[in-house]
Amino acid sequence: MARGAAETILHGLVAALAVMVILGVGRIRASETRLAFWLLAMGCPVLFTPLCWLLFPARAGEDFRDGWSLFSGNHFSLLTWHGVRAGSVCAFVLTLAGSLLYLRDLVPFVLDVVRGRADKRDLAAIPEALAGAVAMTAAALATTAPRLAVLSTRHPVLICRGLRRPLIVTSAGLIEMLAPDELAAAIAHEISHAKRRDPLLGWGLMLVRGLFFFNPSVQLCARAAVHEIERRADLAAARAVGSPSPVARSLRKLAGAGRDRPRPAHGRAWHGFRLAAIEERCRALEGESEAEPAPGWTLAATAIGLGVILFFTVA
Amino acid sequence: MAPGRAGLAVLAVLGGTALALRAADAIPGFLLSVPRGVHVCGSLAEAESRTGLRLEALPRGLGDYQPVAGTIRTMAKPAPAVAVTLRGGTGNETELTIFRGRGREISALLRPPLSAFHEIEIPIGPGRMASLKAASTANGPVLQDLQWFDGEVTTALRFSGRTVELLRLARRIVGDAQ
Repeated sequence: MARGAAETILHGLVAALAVMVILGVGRIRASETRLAFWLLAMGCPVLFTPLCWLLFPARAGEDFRDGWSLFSGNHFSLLTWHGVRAGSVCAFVLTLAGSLLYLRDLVPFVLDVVRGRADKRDLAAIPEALAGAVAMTAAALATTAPRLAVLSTRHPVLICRGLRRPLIVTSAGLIEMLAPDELAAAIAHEISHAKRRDPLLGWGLMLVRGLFFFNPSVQLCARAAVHEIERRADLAAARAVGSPSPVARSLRKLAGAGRDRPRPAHGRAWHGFRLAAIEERCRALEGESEAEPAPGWTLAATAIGLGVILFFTVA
Repeated sequence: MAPGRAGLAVLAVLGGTALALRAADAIPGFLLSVPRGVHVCGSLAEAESRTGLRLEALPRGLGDYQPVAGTIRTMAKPAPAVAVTLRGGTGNETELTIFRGRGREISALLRPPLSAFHEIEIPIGPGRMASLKAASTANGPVLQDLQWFDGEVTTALRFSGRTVELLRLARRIVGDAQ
């Protein structure tokens, strides 16, 4: 069991590092391609590693470890300090890091869900202008208009929910806060999520993160995948409204909205990181031209190459 | 993005990953001078179960010579073999390394070759001859290497003490086996 968990961590780290370097060295900028690469890196420890155990149990034997493997974690059991094995320390530190990363995102997620349930009881009428904007944006994105709900709360809320029938939830506070072009851009962003069934993908990622909560690479790859999903929706929204500028302005306003809320010190620091990340996303959106997706065979070649490397890598 | 650049990036990164993993795998062996394929065992019983060679009787027949922790090493391929270093004798400073392996050869990974300046055949038991080599080490002292084959298993002793003592130990081992 422990060796299995260690192997998924090892495979995840190798896959994530390789994908990160391929994306950097190959200058792969298209969010669609980057998302596929990050999902591949995440899939390696989640699907490929257990498949290897099932189909090739001989990989665990010493003949394979000493004769065939590229890397065998048990070779590190030679390194000990006061009777503690170096491999065990590494596994413990990585497991701790994975669990903390998972909790770091799980707690705000659960709070959002709980807060969303409380707000759901208090619905307001849908302004006609908003309904019109949603219909127009959906047409621009060549999709059907999703369902819409407006909460009467003064807090800015904008989220795409629903696994089978997407629902865009917004609030009176958000409609007041954003200028009409910014509101259209923000709505376009959410319609793009609805069109691509991103909530379903988001729940899938959350489920995998929960199952592999101890694996830091799964946590980081899922985060990177979510970042690419958001970038993809930003670009779609910019295309729909004809300019990236209103998308970036709406993002900045939404991110800055909670700035004055009282927070503990670590919460302020985290909010600062989040603001910095959104600012970077806005700058990238305003500065970047539409990147061409990488040829499909690069992903296939990476998957095959990683499969071969990971087959010969044992914990 | 040029497809060529992406292809090169994929090839270079995957190749680099494989090399990096292989290099990382060699680190513990390099730090502890344990070559790949060699296992360090915690006890003679563990080494016996890994190799299927009889070992536990060895130190029992050697008086005050006792295995040094961390020096029991085994190999599974090309043929099962084991090396164990014992320390004992006057002042507890004399080192004896026992090698035992199936077949006529013991891998050089376990038993580093010596360039002998002298080699003779010498009897160590009834009808049993062994080859005794003497070699000087890099820092001066002479090492003696005594090896015999019993038709299935090769046993070798490498010793830093006196020849008389080495032959006494060899005869104890041969006598024990019989």
